[in-house]
Amino acid sequence: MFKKYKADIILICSLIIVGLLSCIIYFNFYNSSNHLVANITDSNNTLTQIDLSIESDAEREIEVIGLHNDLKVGVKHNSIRVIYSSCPHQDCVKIGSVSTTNKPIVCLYNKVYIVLIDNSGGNDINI
Amino acid sequence: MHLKKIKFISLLFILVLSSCGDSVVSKTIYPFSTYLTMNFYNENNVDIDYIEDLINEYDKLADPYNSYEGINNVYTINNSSDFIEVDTKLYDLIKYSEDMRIKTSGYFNPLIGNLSLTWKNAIENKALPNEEIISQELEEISNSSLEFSDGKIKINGEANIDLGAITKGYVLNVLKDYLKENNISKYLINGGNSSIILGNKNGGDFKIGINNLSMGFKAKEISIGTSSVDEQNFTLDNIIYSHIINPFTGSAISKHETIIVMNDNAALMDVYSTVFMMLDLEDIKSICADNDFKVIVIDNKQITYKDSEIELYV
Repeated sequence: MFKKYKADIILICSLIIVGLLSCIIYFNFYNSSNHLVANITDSNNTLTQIDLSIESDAEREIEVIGLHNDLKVGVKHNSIRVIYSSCPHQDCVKIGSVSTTNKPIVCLYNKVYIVLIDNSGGNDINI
Repeated sequence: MHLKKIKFISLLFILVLSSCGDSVVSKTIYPFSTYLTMNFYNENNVDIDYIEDLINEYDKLADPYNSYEGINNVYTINNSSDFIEVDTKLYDLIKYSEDMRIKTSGYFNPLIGNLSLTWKNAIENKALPNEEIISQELEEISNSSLEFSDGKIKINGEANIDLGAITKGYVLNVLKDYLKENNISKYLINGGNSSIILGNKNGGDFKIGINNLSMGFKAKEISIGTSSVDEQNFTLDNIIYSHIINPFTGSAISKHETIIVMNDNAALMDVYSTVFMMLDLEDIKSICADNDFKVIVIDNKQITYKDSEIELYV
């Protein structure tokens, strides 16, 4: 029986895989907004909020107070990254620029968390 | 394999792919000292490179502060007392600006360059400019004029051109015509939140939220112009001074907090959103009625007037 439907099964499995991959790509790369706000917090409090939609294309640097040392963070239009952190693993630096709501930047060593929030409120645009 | 099975599986394949969402092509560029975001929905024939080149060309032509090799732009005209031969695109833009000066009874004035720069510096330094300088620049504006001759433009007088209040809207209007000619109808193009052109969103409306208010409205196939004191401003003694300058008084104090105005002409909307910031509500209503504009006026974080055809959602 397996032999009889082998071609069908392979084709259906391939389609499911392609479908899943498409969804993964969609949710990773298209889950971005034109109205992003960066919420930068420590363990308990919001340190600062930056409206990334009104930033220019030229990156500017800000300092964020960390538990052990301050972080150097680069912000530009709808994008944010950690430029420098004193943490041992450098994961927060290695993640690079983030422009989507589903990819937080976390520096556990300095207890700094950067999360992007879609501030469009379900609107296509806010004016 | 049977043909029926192949058809069924092909259909399934298409469904699986299409279930993941619409195809949206989005690009943000940075002309006119701001950002410009283009969203195209299920439009496969959009030549984004051409659009970007067109916008960047206008950006250079309308630049009052920088010169570019091989280009006669606004900077070139401002720094000459002779006729300057310019590209047709710039000639038409400045001619249109002059027409707008007449249409708005001088509330929009392309010769506001020096005054505009004085206030830009004041906003940057958060300090009021010298009143004598303002008076001198107002006199320059009233004693200056633009002269047009066979593709050439000249400023008579000491005033300088600044097209900041019109270029984005004008270029978006050019772009709108280009998109229409190419049968591209599903788009949203946002020029720094002050000039917006809307096609449709796969046939439907776009949801337009209003900043600082928990409400919005739906719109499609229209141009929107907005002006607000929330942008480029400073506050002194509880008075907000913004980038919107009255060319008659030299004042940077607006009569309204935000103006949102809609019509099919993006250039007009860019101009009138600024002009309305200087006018009383009754004058705004009268102009809107005469020109088929739809307007929302916001003062003190509240809508003080809106066209009856605009339906708000919360």
